[in-house]
Amino acid sequence: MSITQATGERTDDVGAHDSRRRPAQRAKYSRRSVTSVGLTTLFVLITIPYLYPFLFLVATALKRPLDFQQSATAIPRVLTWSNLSDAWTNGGLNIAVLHSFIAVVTSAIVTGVVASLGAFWFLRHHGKIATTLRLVLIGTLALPAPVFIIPLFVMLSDAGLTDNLFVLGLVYGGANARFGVYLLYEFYSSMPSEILEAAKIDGASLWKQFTRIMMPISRPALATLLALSFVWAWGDLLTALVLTSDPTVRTATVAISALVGQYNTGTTVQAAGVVIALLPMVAVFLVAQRFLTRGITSGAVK
Amino acid sequence: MRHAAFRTSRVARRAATAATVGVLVVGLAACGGGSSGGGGSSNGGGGGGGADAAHPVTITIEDWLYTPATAGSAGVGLKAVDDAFMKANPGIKIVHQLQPYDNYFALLQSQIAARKGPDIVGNFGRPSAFQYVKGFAPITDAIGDERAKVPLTSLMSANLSDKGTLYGVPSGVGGYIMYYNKGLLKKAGVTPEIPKTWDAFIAAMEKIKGAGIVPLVTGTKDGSYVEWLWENVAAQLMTEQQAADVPLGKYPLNGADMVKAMEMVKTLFDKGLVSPDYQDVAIFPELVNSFGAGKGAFFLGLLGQETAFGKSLGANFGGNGLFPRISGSQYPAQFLDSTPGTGYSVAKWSKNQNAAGKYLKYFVSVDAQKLLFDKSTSYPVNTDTKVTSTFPSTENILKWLKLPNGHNGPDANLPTPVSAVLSQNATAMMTGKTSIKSVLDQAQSAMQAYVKQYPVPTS
Amino acid sequence: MSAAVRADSGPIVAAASRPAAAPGRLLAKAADLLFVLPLLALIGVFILLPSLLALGYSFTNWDPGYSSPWVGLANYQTLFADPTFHKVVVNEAVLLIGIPVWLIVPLIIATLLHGEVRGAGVFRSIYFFPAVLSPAILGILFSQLLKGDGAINQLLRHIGLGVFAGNWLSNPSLVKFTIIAVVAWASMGTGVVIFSSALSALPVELFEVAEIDGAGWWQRFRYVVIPGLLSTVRLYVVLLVITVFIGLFPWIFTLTQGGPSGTSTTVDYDIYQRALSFGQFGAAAAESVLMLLTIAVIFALGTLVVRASRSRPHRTEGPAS
Repeated sequence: MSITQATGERTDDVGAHDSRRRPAQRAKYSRRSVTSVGLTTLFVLITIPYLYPFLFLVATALKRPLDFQQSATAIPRVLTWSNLSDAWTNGGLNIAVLHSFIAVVTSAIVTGVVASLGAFWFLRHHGKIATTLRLVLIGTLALPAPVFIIPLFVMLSDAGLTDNLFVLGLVYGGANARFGVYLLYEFYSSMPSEILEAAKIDGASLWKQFTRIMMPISRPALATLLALSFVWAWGDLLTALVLTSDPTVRTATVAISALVGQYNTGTTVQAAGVVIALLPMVAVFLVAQRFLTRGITSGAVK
Repeated sequence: MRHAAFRTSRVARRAATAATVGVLVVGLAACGGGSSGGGGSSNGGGGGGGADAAHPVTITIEDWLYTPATAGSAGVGLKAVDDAFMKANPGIKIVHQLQPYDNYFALLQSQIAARKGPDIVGNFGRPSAFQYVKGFAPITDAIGDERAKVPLTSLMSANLSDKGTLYGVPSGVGGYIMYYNKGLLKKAGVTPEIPKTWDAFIAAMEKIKGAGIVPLVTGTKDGSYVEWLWENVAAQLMTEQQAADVPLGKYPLNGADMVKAMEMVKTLFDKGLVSPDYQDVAIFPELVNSFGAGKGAFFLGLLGQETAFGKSLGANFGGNGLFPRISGSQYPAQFLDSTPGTGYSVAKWSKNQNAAGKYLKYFVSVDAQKLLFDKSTSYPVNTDTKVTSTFPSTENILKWLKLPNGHNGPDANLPTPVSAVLSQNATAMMTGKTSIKSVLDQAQSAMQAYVKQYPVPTS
Repeated sequence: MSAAVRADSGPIVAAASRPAAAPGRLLAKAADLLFVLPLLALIGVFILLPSLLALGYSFTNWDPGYSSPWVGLANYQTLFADPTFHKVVVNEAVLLIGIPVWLIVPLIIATLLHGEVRGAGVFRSIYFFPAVLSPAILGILFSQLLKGDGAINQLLRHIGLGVFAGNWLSNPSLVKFTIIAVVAWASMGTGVVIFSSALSALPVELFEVAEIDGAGWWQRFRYVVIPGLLSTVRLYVVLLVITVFIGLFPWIFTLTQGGPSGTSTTVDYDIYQRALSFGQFGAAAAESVLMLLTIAVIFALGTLVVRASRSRPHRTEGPAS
């Protein structure tokens, strides 16, 4: 995207505009309140298919198994906590959720740091080797876990690194950094180059350019990346199962997957497991979302 | 019954396991603890033979059956066996861990590639085990004399090794059985029992259909139910030897008899004797729930489901019966299509193979098999086991297991890629969109490819 | 990124790639490499190396951890003769239809949400919410909802739209579109968040100018949003193409297992089932190679199209790289 060309002479005050101009913008929009009401209605309508499945899920988790067999869709008449406690204790989700957090937080940190550093390097290197390297790294995005999981497991197992949540986090970090470096590289590239130029003229070191300029400037993209990498790592099943097969380091998705055995008719318990695995994510999500939203509404830069 | 094979098709594997352990309503969950692989090596090199209370050995077991303590579930029986074994062998500690079924074989495959994992692994005898057998240690000596009392092992060894070496033991007997809903049959004016012949079965179902009731609770979404029906019809058209030849690729799956058997299954669909929404229903758990909720008169299910159906259907639960005899059957009477369910093998990488072998010997002993039956309604593989039941349907099974000619049909023995051809094309075959012959041809060539890739080990 | 940026960054590139004369320069160069080394190490060790091993095994009768004899192109021949693989090719071709849907819907929603709607953040959160859940888990939920007698059909019948009730997952001609719809549902929020983030990076002035000029919604979309978001859109399309080939696995695994009759078997699901269920590791590796080649061809074609469109004059536009 070409902010430079599109904004012309204004690039110098990118980042300063938002707070000053937003009120004016708001006023302008309020004049078109009819459109606004129409749009709001549209968005409210769209939320229905987004909310209903989760209402169904929560209702199922709180239903007695027999009631669920009678009618899957009816509103539960009697609420029960037994599904939730079953999933929590017997299902081992109490500890599995913690395991997921260790792996996922590790992965998010690794992804954020490694992808930012790498993207910054690629921003400064456009030689044949660097470009090829960048394309190869992005190309690895097309390598799915079923392709590499077995050789990876053999390698890690030889090194005694299986059943280790931090190693799992590193693997996720590597997997997510593939997208991360692409996202951040594109974002950095879309920044006006004058900013870096100015820093260079001021004699700022590479490290300073990175920490004082690139990191703050890329906050929205970084927030998006962190949220996505959190989500992707949290949702993984295959890698987690194979690399951490020991139940004492089992992650939440693996624990839920164990709940969903095919002999199990306990849809209600499964639903409860899903709800539990979901709750911490809701919390993380709300925090991340606030950060994301702030990044978005503040006009992205600075 | 001396002749039952391991079911290895993906679907049949699930089925057998369920049958073996009598699981219907269980909450599979993560329990168990300890560490895989590493745990077993604490007494490294000791071989487990010299294990005693002072130098305890830890044996790790991994399977998809060790469910939490819901009454009647597989986990209860398994835990009782583990506890009894540890009591008798204070030098050996058993750590049993549940793994999710859906990716279980991916996990096992990785462990075999890395030669690292638990000491004992759950699996399904053969022939899909051809691809895993390189990870198993021979246990012929460990099981010793007990083997003679566990006739099901004959098939396991015959197919896992051409030398008769034993690489695994079955944990229980599984098989297929018909169930009926007494209330619905009475309502339709049909004698409340499983008809003895195929023709009588069809006639009864047409009458039931006339009364506006679903005759046979059916679901083909995952295709397995079509495989089950085919299995039970086709078993009557093949000798025991032919059935045993199937997993070795020596019996053609696309022969005239096998096609005919599938066509007989299709008549049920052509005549509309199946659940109207069959295309949209998978066996587990929906189809099982559906019969349990009284949504049809008959159901072809698995051994061991009787307790759960008795509970969910209450007074309407009629009981069980052998699969109806078809007119072209090679056998004079009905028989029980029974098989070993899941099995256990000692991992080649285990540092405590002796202790692990000792556990498996105990597992197939009369004592352990009785515990499994009493706690989880798992039908014993050890023929010396004395078990009784006061539940009529369970009594029936114990009686029918002693009938002559009990053997598999073609499906229970299929390796996963071959079974997948059938299950993935099941609905298309039943609706006439794809010809039965062409699907069976495809299954046959998949079978040939499989035995070429995973030949019978020669040691 | 624009051509201008590329030109501007020239001096940096030159500085970094100048031959090191003094020890200080060498040190600086080493320090510079530290920026990219962690990335290379991480992806190289955990992704690239094991994948290359696997791909190399596509020419062997691969038996992981054990002897894997060379078989040349036999695995590829097996694949080309396999009816399941033929179905996979057809399925993937149809699923590519999903890409414009998965792209355009969040793009429009993000644009509409941009600055004009009260509670836009709340809506964004609600739409983004499914993205925080594992598809493996959502798939379990959706297989309940989409069953023949499931909640969605019950609802349709309840409000008198029973004619639209369908066998979403078991009708061979419907199932791929069901998958496309479910993925559209699940991925919309991700798209909205990414596009919103990119939109917010666009100067507000652009929209103001457009408004003063009396530009309608479509004009703003066409002349401000599209050019401004071009690099983000390209990024997202890359993500979507990859999704079609390697991201649908958890959905297929939980919703259809590739059925009915293989009409929803995707290439990633097929690779999984071949390798980890069927034990056909060599064929699975060969299928991975073919998949990578396909993706490479698609991207090469895409790059050509982008280049061709760049040579045409365009208002305010300067697509990246």
